[in-house]
Amino acid sequence: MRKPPDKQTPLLVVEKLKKYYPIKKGIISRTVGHVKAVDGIDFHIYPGETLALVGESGCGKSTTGRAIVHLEPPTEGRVIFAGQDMAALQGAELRKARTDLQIIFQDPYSSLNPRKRIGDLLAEPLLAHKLVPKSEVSQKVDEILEIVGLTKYHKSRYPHEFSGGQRQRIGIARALILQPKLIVCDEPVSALDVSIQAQVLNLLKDLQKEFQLTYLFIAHGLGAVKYISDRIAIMYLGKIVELAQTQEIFKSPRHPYTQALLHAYPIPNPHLRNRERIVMEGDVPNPANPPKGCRFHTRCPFAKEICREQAPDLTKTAHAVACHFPLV
Amino acid sequence: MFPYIVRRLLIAIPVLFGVTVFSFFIVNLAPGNPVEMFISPDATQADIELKKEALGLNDPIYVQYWRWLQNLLQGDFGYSFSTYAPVGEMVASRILPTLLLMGSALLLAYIFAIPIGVISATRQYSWIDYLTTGFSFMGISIPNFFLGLGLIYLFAVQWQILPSGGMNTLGGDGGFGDTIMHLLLPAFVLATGIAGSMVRYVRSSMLEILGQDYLRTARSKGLREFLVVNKHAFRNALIPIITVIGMDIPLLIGGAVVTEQIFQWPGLGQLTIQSILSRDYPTLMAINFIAAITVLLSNLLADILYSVADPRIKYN
Amino acid sequence: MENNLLEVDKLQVAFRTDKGEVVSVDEVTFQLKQGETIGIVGESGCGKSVTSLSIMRLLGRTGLIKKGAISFNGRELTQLEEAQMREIRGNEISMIFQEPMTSLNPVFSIGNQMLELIHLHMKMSKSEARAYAIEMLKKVGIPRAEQIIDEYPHKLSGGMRQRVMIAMALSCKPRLLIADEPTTALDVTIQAQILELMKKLRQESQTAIMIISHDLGIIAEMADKVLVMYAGQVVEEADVFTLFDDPKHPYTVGLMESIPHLEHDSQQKLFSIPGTVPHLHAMPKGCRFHQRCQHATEQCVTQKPPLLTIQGSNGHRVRCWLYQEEEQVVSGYGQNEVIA
Repeated sequence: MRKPPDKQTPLLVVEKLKKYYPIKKGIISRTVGHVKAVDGIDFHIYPGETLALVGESGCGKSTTGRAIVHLEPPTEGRVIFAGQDMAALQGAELRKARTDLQIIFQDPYSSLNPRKRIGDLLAEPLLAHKLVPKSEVSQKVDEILEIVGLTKYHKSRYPHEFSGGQRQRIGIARALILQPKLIVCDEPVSALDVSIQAQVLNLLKDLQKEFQLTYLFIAHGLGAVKYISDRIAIMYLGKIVELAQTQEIFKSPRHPYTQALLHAYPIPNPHLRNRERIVMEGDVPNPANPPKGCRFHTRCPFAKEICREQAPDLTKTAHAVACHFPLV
Repeated sequence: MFPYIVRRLLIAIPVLFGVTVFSFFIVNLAPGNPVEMFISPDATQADIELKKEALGLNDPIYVQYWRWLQNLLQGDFGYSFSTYAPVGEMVASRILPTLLLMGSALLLAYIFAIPIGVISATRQYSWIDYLTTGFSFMGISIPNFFLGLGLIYLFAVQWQILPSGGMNTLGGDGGFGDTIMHLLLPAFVLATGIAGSMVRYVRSSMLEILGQDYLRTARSKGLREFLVVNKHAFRNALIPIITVIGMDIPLLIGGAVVTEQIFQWPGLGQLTIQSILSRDYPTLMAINFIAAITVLLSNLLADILYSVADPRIKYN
Repeated sequence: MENNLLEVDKLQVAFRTDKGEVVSVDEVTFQLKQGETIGIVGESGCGKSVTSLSIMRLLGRTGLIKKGAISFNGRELTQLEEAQMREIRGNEISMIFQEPMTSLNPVFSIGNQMLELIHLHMKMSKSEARAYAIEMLKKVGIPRAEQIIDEYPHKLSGGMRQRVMIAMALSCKPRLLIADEPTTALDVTIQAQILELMKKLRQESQTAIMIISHDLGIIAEMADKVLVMYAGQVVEEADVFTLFDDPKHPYTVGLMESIPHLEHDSQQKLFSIPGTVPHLHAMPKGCRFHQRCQHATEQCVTQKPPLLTIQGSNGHRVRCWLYQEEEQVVSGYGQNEVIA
């Protein structure tokens, strides 16, 4: 693991980020409420670091990722990239920031235009941003294909001719070709087979080292995350409930939800099948109508009176946790 | 559901207003004027002017429109320029024949097209599928006037087993059986085109559904294939088909212009042609207005049927 | 071999495509006893789902069982008439699927879909059947079952829908339950709930379970014995403890090495099997894994390995030339050896 980067300035700072979607009802479609997909989260990522954003479906992790790369403007709060507030950027500066911030999606197939050849798909962002002279585009595409483990002979092929793992390599190549500083990886291996997941994770890790990349790695499970991330933020219903160094999260989780996630994970060792563990009851509540107080109290085995009344804040410590009664 | 319907009806009002403005001006843009159409050839220019003045045709167009709208709001469609009969009554007498013709055509089309579309989809790429595909394209592409004239030639002229036109035999008893005999040919002609496209819609809608996971679940329960297709798949395939049915309903009113003309069917379509030829603005406007209301209502009806067929759709 | 509920013998399944017939499952053999749980593990396209669908004889219009036998409870399923097969489906063998979101028909209520099955296979009056359906829903932990039975599937979460699927699958007290990736589409905490539920119901009912998964963790939690499938074949078969303690086939070993373990310290580099699964249209000659195998020899390239039984083991079989003679077994070759 990397040393705590205390003296560095963060590359990305997310401040009080909120993303609400209105719910409309009635004869004149007035807004009767909001789905609070992301409800006030703060975190930062240092250059060269990987921060993982982990949580179950509907916790707001993907929305956060999309807000950061400017695909969906935040309802409130700021995204500060390399010292600049993204909302304040315009023209050339915004374009530059957009090349610096890239995103890789879970399903690379649906994000690749099926009617375009791989070579054209990869050349497109280069031409759009006029990053290299036209004459060098082709060479640049060859290089990037080589880097992600494909060959230049793949240029004339169409997306459907590739396997899932190869498509994800193309997705990575397309993000990488603009020489970004930060890549949001939105569940990049969730749709892949186990043996292919390992290939793609290794590739991401190698690329990070080679190009000094910073990752925001979004995942629903803890498996891949343990291997790739420096720090992990656990999200639940639009809020961060715990944020700490990777090993801390695994060795001594402090939020009951984190612990439940760890317990829920099936372990590939039949000797451990009868281990003690807490199986969390119930479903994730509806984000349009989150529980009062601590949002986890409806499923928390340790919830007390105060948890139903008052929402706990995320502590400002190195191992941050938002819980009235954190585990030791 | 109720607020949704109210909202849709409220939205319909400005749309309807827009349609009347638009069609009023378009109708008046047409060359020629009604007076020249029906006044005797030896009338003097002064007579014509007098007539125009009496009909209010010399007023600016927006004044004419305003007058028309005021009357409409009182439920008065005005008087026909060519027959002087009240337009409301004229149109009303035409609606029933048209509804009868189009209703039977739609019914005929759906009764055949829906099962054929389902069979065609379940046996994709079989000879039955190719055959129905061929016939449905024929149904879509043969023009109604051509098919109509061909059938009249065969059934009325050559074999003389069906009447060539009209709705009742002149001087006959005007009974129901007589009407049915007159109805057969025009209804069949209209049904071919509707059925042709319906088969295509049903087939593609079913094909989309046939690959769904829940059909595998239904089969894994031990259900017979007949139920898997006709209960589980068809109920789902019906949802997009409702849109098509919703688009077909406006045809009920005035959609059969050509066919009614060929078969001398005394419906709205025939009236449309007559009033266009005689520049009978009030009648034309009334027909337009009714057509617009039908379109809006049938769209609403389709959307309501949607929520009946698909429990996932809830309007509020 | 006595008391086997299910015996699959040298099953071969093919699908008709535009490019001709492709064999998707080849020489699959295994047995399952009453009350036993078998796990089938493998990556996409390895034939694990096709194997289960051929037991149900639900291969669709293009799939067909080319060779082999499937004997269930003394009856040869491949020889049965379609009508006899329908008697078995949902009644003696039932199935739950990967996608709870799409496995229930969206336009029929939960009750409608459950009662349809109950009326099909059980003699019950309308009110009895409804009461029984509610009882089944309660059994799988659905709150407010009396109301939920009249709801439509879209009102339920993925986890709840999978519970409904399980309630439905167990309604007719089947002797065999096939669970095809039953938790893959669910969140981890919901997955844990569903697996717990399946364990509980298994104890109560003595139903044999065939659980299909790509996740070795789930297999380790659930299965008594395991089949590892690769490219349409069984490459290894053993009881669950033997398989995880002493995996033999290089593919099994690679699969185990490539999962990030939560209970170990983080690895600096994950092991990964190079290359991709061969395409059905272009299966390599010889061993189907040889192109991705670090140990491949000349023999592996040219000759098809049979499923060999490891000497002295309790039914540990492996399809690999490395184990053709006892002397050739590399000592200590297994999970701990670094192949990368």
